[in-house]
Amino acid sequence: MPILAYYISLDTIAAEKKASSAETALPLLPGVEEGFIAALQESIAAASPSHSIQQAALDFALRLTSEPEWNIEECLAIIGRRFAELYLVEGMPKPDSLNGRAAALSNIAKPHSHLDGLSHQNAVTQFLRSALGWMPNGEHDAAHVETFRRAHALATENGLTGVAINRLFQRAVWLFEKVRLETDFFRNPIAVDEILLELAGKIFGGLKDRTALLIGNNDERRQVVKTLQGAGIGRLYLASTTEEKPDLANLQIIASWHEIAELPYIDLLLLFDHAERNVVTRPYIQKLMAARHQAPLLLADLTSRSETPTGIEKLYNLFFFRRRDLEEMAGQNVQARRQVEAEVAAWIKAEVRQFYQWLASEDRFQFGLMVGRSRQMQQVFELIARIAQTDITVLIEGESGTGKELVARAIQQSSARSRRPFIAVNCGALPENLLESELFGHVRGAFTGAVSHKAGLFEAVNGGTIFLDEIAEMSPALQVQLLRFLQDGEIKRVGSNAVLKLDVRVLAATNRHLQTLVNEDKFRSDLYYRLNVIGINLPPLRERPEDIEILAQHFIKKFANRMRKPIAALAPEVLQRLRHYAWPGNVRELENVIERAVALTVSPTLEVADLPVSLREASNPLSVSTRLPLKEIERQYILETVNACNGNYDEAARLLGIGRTTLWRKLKIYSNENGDSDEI
Amino acid sequence: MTTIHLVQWLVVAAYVFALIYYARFFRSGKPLASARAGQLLTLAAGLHFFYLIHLAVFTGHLPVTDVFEAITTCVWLFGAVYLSLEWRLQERSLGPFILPIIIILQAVSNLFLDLHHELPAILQNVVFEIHVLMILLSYSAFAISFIASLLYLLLSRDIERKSLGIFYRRLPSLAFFDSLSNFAVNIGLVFLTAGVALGVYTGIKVSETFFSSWDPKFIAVGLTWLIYIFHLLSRRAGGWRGKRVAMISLFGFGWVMFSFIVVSLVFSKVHQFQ
Repeated sequence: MPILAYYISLDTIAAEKKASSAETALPLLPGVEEGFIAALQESIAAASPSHSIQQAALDFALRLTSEPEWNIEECLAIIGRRFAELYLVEGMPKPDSLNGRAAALSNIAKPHSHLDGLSHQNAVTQFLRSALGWMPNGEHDAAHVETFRRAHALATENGLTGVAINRLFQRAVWLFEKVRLETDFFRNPIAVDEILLELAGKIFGGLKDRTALLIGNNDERRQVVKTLQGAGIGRLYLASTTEEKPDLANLQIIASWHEIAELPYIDLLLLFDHAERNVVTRPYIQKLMAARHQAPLLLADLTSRSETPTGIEKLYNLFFFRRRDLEEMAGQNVQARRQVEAEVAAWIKAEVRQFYQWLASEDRFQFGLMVGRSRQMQQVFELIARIAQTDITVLIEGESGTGKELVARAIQQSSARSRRPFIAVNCGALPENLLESELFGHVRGAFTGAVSHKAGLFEAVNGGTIFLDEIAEMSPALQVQLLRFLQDGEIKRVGSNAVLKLDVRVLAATNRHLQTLVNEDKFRSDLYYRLNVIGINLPPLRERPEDIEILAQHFIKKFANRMRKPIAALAPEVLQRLRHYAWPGNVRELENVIERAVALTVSPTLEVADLPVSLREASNPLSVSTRLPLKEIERQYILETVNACNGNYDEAARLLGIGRTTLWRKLKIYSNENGDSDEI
Repeated sequence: MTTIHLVQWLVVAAYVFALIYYARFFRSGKPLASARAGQLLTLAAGLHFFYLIHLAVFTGHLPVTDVFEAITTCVWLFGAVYLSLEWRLQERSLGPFILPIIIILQAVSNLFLDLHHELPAILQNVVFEIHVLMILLSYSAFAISFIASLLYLLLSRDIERKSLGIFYRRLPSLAFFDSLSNFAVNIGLVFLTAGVALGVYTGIKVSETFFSSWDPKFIAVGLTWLIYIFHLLSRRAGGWRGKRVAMISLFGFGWVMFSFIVVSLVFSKVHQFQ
């Protein structure tokens, strides 16, 4: 797995670089940058000044492509990122000429030293550290965490992250939460403006109804204003002779000292300029305090020189801070953080170890009861993991046999309702009236045979999750009731007027294309939009052949265990057949095929003979495995269709979608050919 | 040893257990420990309530008729008032300071509680029981105010010294403790006034010489009332803020404790008007 760690290291460095140079907006992920990959492709393929560089680049690309998990686009994206790394890390100018790119490519060939064991672990460690805003130089930057998450979101959006990165990212987010909740790592501010804010918080509680007066103007003031505004301070007065125009709603500028003296009620008084300090004298403070009934006042002298106005410190209920005091407090916080860092470093180490254990295990392709290594399925897993914690309604669409119920169960299992009941209802299995009383319950005498009250499934599952399969089969009347529940959380039993308020998460599934049904007015559009808050689309098995092997292995293990047969593998030809089959019944069909094969087989390896006939005879001319001229395929297909229609040419022409004349002409050619051959 | 004895010490054990979690939370600041602490205190208060019912059934009257019964009831009320505050404010930093008071008072009550003392006829009266409950509720409120004021002073000291100590790290804000303390005093005053009024009413009914007998408990409670009225006025009229008001609250509760225990013990017979 060397390339993976490499990939991670690139991601990390790119993310870090982006954080440090957020303003200059350097291209972070060249895969995103338009035309970059194309240019790269071109630069590998096109003439390069040095043959050895070209060779090295191709070498590298080949090494990437030999990893079964990556396709060519991904590999190119990695190369692209390597470029990014080069010109970000090493300060290289962005290569815009072919020569520049070639020179960069020559570096690509080098990184073997990055790929040994130690480096991977460093890369993963660095990844986790940067997720905590812990910069390589030991500093902390809360903004960095945000950047890191944005970088990941961007990469995901562009399909540039794989399973491992996503796993690592999720672990990083988890670690972040753990550190945030269990340590003081993020709690102790180390910047002066944040300490000031914390002090104000410790004295006044919320700042919503508080007023601050900022006297003087220096570089720091801008930051303090921003911090105070971010904390939602009630009013801000800026007093200064040199003032630019700020455009902030709760901020007022005071030009003259008269006005300062007039201000009635100040909670925070911050000095930024010692030239203007002569305003803040003991009598002025005393006057302020008197106006405030001696309530606590925070006075901070943020000028670099600290000449205190005499006697101010002794005033009752005045909290006075010099710049030096604030800096000392910052120092104390840094000290405290150093102690926590050792603890956090140990957690990161454990996390890295776990990550490598996970990488080595098969678990990485499993989610709940589902298995899949294809990108589509990995995306589905990721989506599930992201939405499970919410109470959002989910619509799962997919052909039959793709595992819609497994998705629903996985959502339920990873949600906060995992210990609450889960009920799956097939809406297509019951007639309309029965379904209604089944879902919503009924009262005695609601209809013939309703001899007692009965709670519906919605009530039974209250607090939990209900899974409505085949939602498209629901009658319009029931759709209205379901919509009502989704909107207000209310249901009525059949025959009752009493409204019940319930808390049930609804997951719905269908194997039909609901949007089409909505367009045809067969399904209520308002219900559709209410259900489809999040849509999960399960791709059919034929669109993700890379999952077939892992699924087959999974089922072999399952059935071999159940039937107590020592079956370890499947023959390569079997896998070949499985891959080339269209799987109309999707994963369920695959499961049945494997179950049957495991039951029938007598050898420790599954052979072609154990497969059902449809798979064994891969002789269908339309199958991809046998290559025939197009003409021949057409001939066979037309003749077959005519045979199937018992010689009814009208019907055959309609089925084939060609004119009757065309059909006749083709048949004539075929019979001539046959005739010719007969003659010969 | 009867069930009552077992339960009464179980109550103390439960409070100690809760205190351990509160202290741990206060030291580490971990929210998870905080939730557990709250649950444990609720459990302890529940157990305490069970004990009070048990006691009431055993003795046949509300446990307010002598000082040690009153203490355990007061402790329970105190715990309940604190818990409701905790739920309301989502702030658990007072817990580690309140629980020691609860534990000590409950242990004192356990040690000296006489289950079989004779009940004077005058005390078998609903109005009297309400009178005692009111007074005890007001004492609980004053205790909250006491703790809030204490924490105000500790936090204020940490801020003034610019030493980012544990109080600075864990306590919410001066404004929070200031308003909590005042709120508690105001509530306490309402209950105390009502309690005293009911007491006077009962006293006049049972003893014609009520006002001339100079009942020490009546005087002590009257002084308490004056102290807290002063607290109220110093804010409302005098515009006092912060440390000074906190000091009054500290003094007030000190006097409450003193009068509650000492006056009750030394003059134990006088307040029964025999």
